[in-house]
Order: sequence, then C-alpha cells, then structure tokens
Amino acid sequence: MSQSVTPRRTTRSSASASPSAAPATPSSPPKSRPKPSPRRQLLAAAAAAPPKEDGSSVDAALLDALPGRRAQAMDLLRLLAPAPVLPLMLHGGAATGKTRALLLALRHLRPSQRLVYAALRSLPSPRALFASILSQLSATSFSTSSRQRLPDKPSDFVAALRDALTGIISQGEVVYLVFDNLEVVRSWDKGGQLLPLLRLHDLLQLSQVVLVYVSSGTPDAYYSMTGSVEPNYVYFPDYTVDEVRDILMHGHPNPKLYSSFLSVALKPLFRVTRRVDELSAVLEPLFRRYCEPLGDLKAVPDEGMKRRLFEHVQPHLAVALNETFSVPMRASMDEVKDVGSAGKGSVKRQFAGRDGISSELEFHMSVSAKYLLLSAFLASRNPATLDAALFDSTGGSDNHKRKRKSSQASRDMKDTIVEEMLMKGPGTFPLERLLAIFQCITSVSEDILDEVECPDNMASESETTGLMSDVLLQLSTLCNSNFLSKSRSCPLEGSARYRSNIDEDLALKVARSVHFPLSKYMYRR
Amino acid sequence: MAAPSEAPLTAATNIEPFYVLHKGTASSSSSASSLPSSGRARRRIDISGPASLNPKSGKRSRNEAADDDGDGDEELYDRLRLEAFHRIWSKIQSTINEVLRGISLKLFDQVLQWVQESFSAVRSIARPCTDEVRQPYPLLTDVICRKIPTAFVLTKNAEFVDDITTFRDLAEHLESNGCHLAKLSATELSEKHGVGGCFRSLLRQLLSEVPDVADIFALASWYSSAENYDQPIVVIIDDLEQCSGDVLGELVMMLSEWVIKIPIFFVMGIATTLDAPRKLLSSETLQRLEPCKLTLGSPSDRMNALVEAILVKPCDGFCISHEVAVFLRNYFFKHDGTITSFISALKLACSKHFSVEPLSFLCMGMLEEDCENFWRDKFDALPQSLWKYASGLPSCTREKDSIKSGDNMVEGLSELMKIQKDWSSVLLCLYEAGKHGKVQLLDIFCEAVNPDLHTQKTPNLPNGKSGTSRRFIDQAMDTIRYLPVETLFHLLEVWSIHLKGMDKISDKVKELQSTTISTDSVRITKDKWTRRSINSTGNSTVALNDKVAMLLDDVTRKFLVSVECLPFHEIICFKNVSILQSALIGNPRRMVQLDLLKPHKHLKCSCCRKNGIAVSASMHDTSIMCNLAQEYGDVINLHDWYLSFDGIINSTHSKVKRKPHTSPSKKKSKPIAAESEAMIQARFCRAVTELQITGLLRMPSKRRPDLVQRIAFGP
Repeated sequence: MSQSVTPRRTTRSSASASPSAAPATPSSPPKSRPKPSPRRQLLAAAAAAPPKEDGSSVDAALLDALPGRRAQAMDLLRLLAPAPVLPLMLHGGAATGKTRALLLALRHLRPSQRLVYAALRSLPSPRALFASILSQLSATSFSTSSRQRLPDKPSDFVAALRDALTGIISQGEVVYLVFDNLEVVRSWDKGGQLLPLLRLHDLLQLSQVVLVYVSSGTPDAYYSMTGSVEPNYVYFPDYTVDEVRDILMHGHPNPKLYSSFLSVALKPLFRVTRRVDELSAVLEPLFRRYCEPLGDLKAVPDEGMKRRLFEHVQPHLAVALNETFSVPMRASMDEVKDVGSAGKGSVKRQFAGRDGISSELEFHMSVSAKYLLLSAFLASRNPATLDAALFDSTGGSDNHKRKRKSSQASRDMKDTIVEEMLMKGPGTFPLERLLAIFQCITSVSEDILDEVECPDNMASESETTGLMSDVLLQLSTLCNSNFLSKSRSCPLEGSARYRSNIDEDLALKVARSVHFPLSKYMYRR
Repeated sequence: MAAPSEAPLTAATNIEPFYVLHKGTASSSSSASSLPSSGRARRRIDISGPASLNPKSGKRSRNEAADDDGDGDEELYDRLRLEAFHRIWSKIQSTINEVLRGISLKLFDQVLQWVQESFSAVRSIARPCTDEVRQPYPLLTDVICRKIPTAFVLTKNAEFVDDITTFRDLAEHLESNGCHLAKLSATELSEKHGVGGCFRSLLRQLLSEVPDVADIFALASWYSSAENYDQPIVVIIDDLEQCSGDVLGELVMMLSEWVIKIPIFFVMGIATTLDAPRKLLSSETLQRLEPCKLTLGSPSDRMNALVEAILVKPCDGFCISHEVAVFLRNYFFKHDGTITSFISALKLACSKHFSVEPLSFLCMGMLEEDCENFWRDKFDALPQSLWKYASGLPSCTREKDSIKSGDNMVEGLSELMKIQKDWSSVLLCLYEAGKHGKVQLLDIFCEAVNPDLHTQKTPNLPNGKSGTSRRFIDQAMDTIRYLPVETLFHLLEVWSIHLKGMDKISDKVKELQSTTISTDSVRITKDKWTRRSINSTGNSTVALNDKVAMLLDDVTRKFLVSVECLPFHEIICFKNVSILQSALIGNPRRMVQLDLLKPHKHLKCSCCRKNGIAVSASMHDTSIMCNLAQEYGDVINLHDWYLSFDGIINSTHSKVKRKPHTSPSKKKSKPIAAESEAMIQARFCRAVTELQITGLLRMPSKRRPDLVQRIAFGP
C-alpha cells in the first residue's frame, strides 16, 4: 500500500462512515460498523485477537477445509457476518485459496444466503457479465423487465441491477454480489468497464447488498483512480512450505509414504514455484515415479527404503526442476510415453529416447521446404551485409574461408554487427533476400545431394527448375506452421518482411536431415 | 465403406475440371485417314455394347452410328474410355480411402479410449447434480488444479492438407461413439473473433439454438439436461499452430474453471513438434491442460501403404512407368510432401492416360472376372484404325515380328496381367525384407519399374555401376544377410503368404522354412551343451541368411520384370511424364513471362509473324513493355523505358501514316501526335501495372522514384 494514497482514502472513508462513526462492536447492526483508515493494521490486530463470537468449535470444520488460511478465514467471517457497509476485496496471488475461502465462509455464515457470483474469466464480454448477473437475480424469484432486454451500457446495467436488487431487498434478504477474477476486466475495453463495477457501492446505495471482489491483482490497480469508497481488504499471502505440505497431504491415502516423498521433493521444487496448483501438477507424476519400486502402495517406508526411493526418484526430480521452470507439461508427457513402453529401467530408456528425439526431425517436411526454412533461418540470423561474403557465385563454401581472413578491423566491425543481431533477436528480411539465399543454398547442395544420395539421373535434371518453382507455396506452409512470421502488407507491393521463429536446435535438425552444412553458413563470433 | 467413397478427399476431387476428354492423338489421326468402319464391325459393337456399357449409351451409339460412321465409332470409344476411367478411378479411390481410413482408425480408437478414460477420471472427482452444474460459482472439491484433458495429436507433417480429412473422420468417429463434438478452426480462434466469437461458434455446434448472449451458463444448462449429461464434450482444434495463442489461452482458462461440471476435452492437432503449444500458450494456460500425446502414422508410412495398395497390388488396370514413378516420388519428397497431392497427381495421370491412350478402355477388362472374353469381344469389334494402332504399338513391334490376330493380343494382355501379378508378389517380398532396413516401398517400387533394371544387371557390371540403378533393392537384400533367425523365420512366413500362386518359389520358401526350424532347434540344443558352438551356429545362420538372400536375388532376377518391357504395356501404363510435370509444377510467373515475350505464338496474328522477332507496335502494350524490359538489368529507368515504348508506338504510327499519305501534311499529324502523347502515357501506365500484377516487376520505391525493379529474369 503506497503512502501517498492513504490520506485521500482517509478523508473519503471518514466522510462515508461519519454518520455511524461509533466504537466497533461486532454484534451491532451492519450499518454501525466503522472502517478506520489503516485497515491493514486493523485486520492484523483482529487476526491476532479473534473475535468472541467466532467460537473455535463452530469454525473447526471451516478452518480444517482451509489449511493455512486461518487468519484470512477469521477475517472473512468477521467482515461478512453482519452484512457490512463497505465492499470487500480479497486479493492475493493466484492459487492462494481466495475463492475457496470466500465460498466456504459464505456457506458457513448463511447456508441459504442469496449469492450472485460472476467469475469474470468465464464471461467473455461485459454484456455476458450483465446478463449473467441479472439472470441470477431474476431467475428464481421474479422476472424484471431487464429479462427481456439486455443492457448494453454499464449505466443501463446499473439501473437494471438496482431494480432487481430492490425487489429482493424489500423482502428482507441480504444479497451477496461476488465478482471473481476481477483482474480480467482490465483487459476489457481498456478498463472503461471497470469503473462502474468498482463504484457499484456508490451507485446502488443499497445497504443490504454486499459487494465482494476477488482479484489476483493488488488493490492499487483498481482504486487509485476511481474516487469511490474503498473496500475492506483481505490479503491472501502465498503459502509457506509447511502450509503447502499440509495442503498436499490433505486426505492422502498413505500419509507416511507421501510425507517422506514430500520431504524429498517439495523443498527443491518450492524454490522454483510457490503456487500450489503448479506444485501439485509437478508432484503428482513424480510421486507415481517414486512409488514405482514399491509393490505395495500401502507400505510404510523405513529409512533404508526411503533412501532407495530417493535414489530412484532423484534423476526425475532434476528433470522436473528444469521443466517446471519453463512449462510443467513435459513431465506428464513422458509419463504418457512411458506407459507405452512400460517396464523396468525405463529411466534410462527415457533419457536415451529424449536424446534420440533431439537428433532427428520428428515430422515430415518436403526437401524444398527444408531448404527454405534453412535459408529463412540464415537470413534472420546473419546480418544482411555478410550475405555477399557467405554466398556468392561459387556457392560460398570455399570462398568463405578466404573472407574470414580479412583484416582485424573489419572483422571487429563484423563482430559488432553480429553481436547486435544476436541482441536484437532474429531479424526480418524481405522475400528477395530469402529467395536469393535459397537459390545459393540449393545450388550448392545440388552437388552434395548428388554425392550423398545419388538420385536417379532424371531426377537431378528437373531438380533445379523444380525446387524453385513452388517456393511461394512452401513459404505459406512455413508461415502456417509458425516457423516464419510475416508482416502484413499489400500483397501487390510484395514488400512483406519475414522473420524466422525457429531456434538453432530445430534448424540444425533440419539441416542434418538434408545433409546441409548449416554451421558453415552461420555467422558466429 | 460407403461413406468414404461418397465423400472422397477434398483436394483430390477438385481436379475434376482437368479431365477434359481430348480426342486421342492416335484416334484423331486415324479419323483423319478416315477408314470407314465396316458395317459388320459396327453391329458387333452393338452386340457387345449392352454387355459392358449401360444400355442407354449403347442405344445412343446405335442412333448416332446411323448418322455417320467414323464419328460414331470415335464417340463410342471416347465414351468407353471415359467409362473405363470412371470405373478404374473409383476403384482406386475407394482403395485409397480404405487404406487411409485403416491407418487412422488406429488413432481414432486410441483417442476414443483416451476420451473415455478422461471422462471417468473427471467423474471420479465429483459427479455434480444438475442443479450444481447450473450454479454460477465453482464446485468446492479437493482438486487443487482444474485441468482440461488434452490430447495433442502429432500429425507429423508440416503440410496440413492431409489431415483435414483425418480430423473430419475423427470427429465422425467420436460422434458416432456418443461424444458431443465441436470443431474449432484457426479462423475462429483468431484475434478478430476473440474468445466470445469462438465460444459462440462452440455453442452453435452443440446447442440447437444459441442464446443472445453466448456464455458458459448456456452451455451449463444445456449440459445439465438429462439427455446430454452422460457424455463428454470433445472439442477438436485441428491446426493448433495457426490459432491465436491469446484467444485459445482465454478459452482454455474459461473452460478449465468449469471442467468438473462440464467435462470438455480438447483434441489438438499439431503439425510440427510439441514445442508448438509451448510457444503458443502461456505457462498459466499450459498448466490448465492435462496433456497426452498421440501420433498419427507418418506420411511415409501412409505412403507405403498407399503405394502397396494402389501401385503394387495388381488388378487395378492402371499403372505408371518408371519415369512417372520417379517424378511422383521426387515430387512427394522434394516438393509437396502431402498424400493429397500425390493422389491428385495420380488422378491426373490416370485421367490423362485414359484420354490420350486410344486403347486404354481395355483396362476395364482387368476388373472383369472373365477378362479374356471381355477382351476378345472388344478386339473383334475394334475398327480398323484402332486395330492398326494396336499392332503398331512400339512394345509389340519390338518384341515380336508381327501380331495380327486378336487372340494374340488377348494372350498378350493376359500374359501381361500374369507377369504383373508375379512382379508385385516379388516386389512385396523385397519390401518385407527391406522393412527391416528401413527401406521405403516407394523407393523400391521406383527401382522395380525401371525397365533398365532387367537389361543392366545381366552383364553383371562392377558394383559401383549397378548400385546406382538398384540401390534400394540391394539394400533390401543386404538386410537379409544380417537378420537374426527369428526375424528371418518370420520373414519367410510372410513371403509364403505373398508368394501364394507361384508354386515353385513357395516350395523353395517352405524348404527354407523347414531348415530354419531345424537350425533353430539345433542351436538351442547346442547352446545347452557347449558354449563353444556359438561360432558354428553363427556360421549356420549366416549360411541360411545367404540362402534366403540368394533365393530372393534369384526370384528378383526372374520375376522383377518391369511393365515397360512387356508387350501391350502401353494400354495400361501411363508414361507421359511431361504432361504431369507441366500440370503439377506450373511455374506460372515464368509462363506468363514467356507468353508475353512471344505473344504471336498464342495470338497467331498475321502482323507480328511478318516482323519475326522484332518488337512491333501491333503487339500488345504489355508485351512490348516486357520485351523492352529484357534489355535492362535488375532495375529499369522509367523514363528510358517510356521513351523506347513511345518510340516503338510512334514509329509505326508514322509508318502507317506515311504509307497511305505519301506526302504527310504536318498540320494533320501534329494534333494526332499530341493526342496520342497522353494516350501513350496512359497505355504505358496500364502496361506497367499489368506487369506488376503478374509479378514481373515491382513499383519504384520512395528512395528511387524513377526506377522500377525487375523481379523475374531470364527468358
């Protein structure tokens, strides 16, 4: 929370809360609940000294369902129990149990409460949001006029919402309006839709409507600009290692075995990610691997066994560590692969298999497409100024060495160019340059092809003309498979620029499959 | 298998317009020589007609035959050929569909199994009642991360065309097995439509009527109804690479929140590698997917199966020559790499064959049960011209001194069929052996149809020379020498299946099989007794391997006779590779340029021919410009170009003027010249634009406004 915002907030909240600025008593009617400005301090204090009413016996089930979220659960119960004046905002990183805590708390408080829930992530547009909320309000009790016509504008929505709500409130019910995944709204319409949502409290002016926002963004993202009443905040911090362990252990069939597994695997993985969902995704296949040597999954491991199991799982753990870092998807991928080739000693085979895969191309591509891809890669990688040095009428391969022995100064200059290119990432190139390189490459490799593959005599005749002919078709194939990206421009003009998106590994694989000496043409420092 | 033949491959059907039934070169020449066909022959046709043709066409031919003689015959044979084409191609097409379907069916079953497993896995977490499904807020379960089961289907071909049909069939397969199915294409998953549009099209495919606001609640309430509840929803995205990552990511996030209530699974087709989803989607999104990898048969596997079914297995009545085979192979491996284009090339070849080869209608006989009778009927009915043509076929004149009687022809064709059959059995044996050495069938096939194969190997040239023409066959033989006993035994078993009907050889194979068994048992007993004997058993297996290899070599020499060496092969064998070449590798820009440079070749006007090569004003403007452009390098100065263009136009103007008016009055010519100045500029501009549109040059850049760039070079 930034310091600069605090004073403004103070004035506003004091202005709104001034009529009922009385000492806090939890059992007092909702309106009289004051909201002093440094809310965070208050919450901390409240968490430290739990309110009298929320007896531990009542909440045991709730707290049990929310491991590691005791303080937040208490806050929620305290803030929600008497329908509060101010809206509530739950914020904290992804997968910290915000929605779960909220839903459990609400269920715990009033099993039959009126809950209108809108997860903005599952609503593709503001219109869908309005429709969803209004239909939730109207479907069960009565049908308002809004049922027939869906509001398009936020102001219409607010009016319709007020109509719907007043009807329900007049029956003495408290309505909870929950907006989950609030961060999604920011991508709608440049945030223009956000304002009325956040100001609903001011706009509706209905005391029996409780607004709850759930967001993974920080509150600063929402309330710095609105000029409306600020809600109560409940912060959900990331879980600690122990909490994560508790959560993962929750309801496991063989806790002894699993805890011995977690003691090995959790710490290193926790360094990579702290999100429970990611961790559980990575740990699940690892645990299956861990159990592999065990015949009986119910067994309680002793020390010797633990050590053996650890040795078994360690190489996988190392792999998983690296993969979690990028995408924790490969682990399960291998899982699938291994199911196919089940059996003992699959570890070695798996690693060997991965190496095997990396050395050859996994998919089919026609030879000319391969050459085109290589030339695109070269065009993106090499600076254009070096093209003449690398490729010339003789094909470049022998000339290349002579050029490299040029003076120190020019070499330095080239080096800086190359360095610049590397820093900028793959460069763009016009079609003509691509075609020129393509022609150079194919004309050289023609001889190579003859030596290595010795194709039938008539095949080589048609090759030269053939390879060039449908290059443009191949180009579109490459663009479609995301190997090249193309900048949009007038098709007549023909000045579209391309960029190759492939990494060196793939380029080398492709080169190897056509026996093309790619490294000769790649300019390195 | 009615469905696949009704809905053949999309691309393959599109070449229908190519099929223009030209009058066969030979038959047209024969009509020029116009031998009036005898009445007897015609009556024969009438008799034989209804047996093979449908009665309607037979009747028509009779009516027309009454009108005039030569044309009627010709038309009849044209129609016969067309019918033969339709019959044979539909046979080939259905074979193709069957083969491809058989290959992909394996994958389909895998996918179905995966769907069912995932469905039961999702349901084992929670089985929400209908009210719970409709609730807007998530179900509280113990699941930490809600993941969408996703099958990544690797299609293993950078080119996507082949898989369109695969995914369509997959959708049908899943739907018929009780899944709800929706297909999203890359166009729907684009930035333009956004996640809303994409979700709407998803709903449109599932719900009977889509509500005004397409949101997930509509889907939930639809799914919660009793008749929909017990099946999973499968969403097929067939080309993942082309989708917009953001939109797909949003969709995944949205659906993953609901996956326990509404079990939606993804099947995503990936053309390249598994890196594609990683590059496309954010890690947040990837985490919501529970991936599973499935692979489709690689294109070369499919190709092998296709070649085996269409080209190697006999009795389809159509085959291709060595040149064509090599061309097709190169086209497949070097250029296009799709089965679709291979099939369309084959169809093109087939249609060309039937349109060009006058006797090709006889191919139909190969499909008849009693082919000899069929042929005899046809031969007796042949008009003189075709008769002459048949006996003049180069393959007949080469082989035998004279073939006059129809019987001989029938015999020749039957012989051809028989030899073809043996040839294909031996080729399959070779392929079976080569499989262990990763030899592709298409490669062996190309060598086996080589007519030089037979002539080359008899003189037994040194290895280096003979290796070029039969590299893959030798490779296949070599693999036999190193096969372990078990595989060898298995190989012999497969051979005996392939060689059924060739008694002598299958006897030999049986003999070898028995020795395999004996050596096998010997080895086992010996192994039991002493360790030393490994050496000797090694020897015995080597001897056996050699024996098998020798047998194969022997058989290959005897039976692997290329079609092109046989008499009458022209009737069934398509040889004209240049037609195919020009049709498939169009090279349009070059053709446009060539045509522009030599317009009189097409226009055949009198004015230009007189002038010969020189550029004249009577030519089309664009043509003149194109000719002029040849004089420049890669950039053309616009002003110079214009001046020379102006010069050419005006030179003839003045010439034309000068000729009628021997004394040109300056007064008269001036205004015309001034008027044509603007006109010439306009014509110049139009010509330049046309050249730009045809892709021969590029407009001037801002930096050098007076120069245009040439793009196409060379004549």
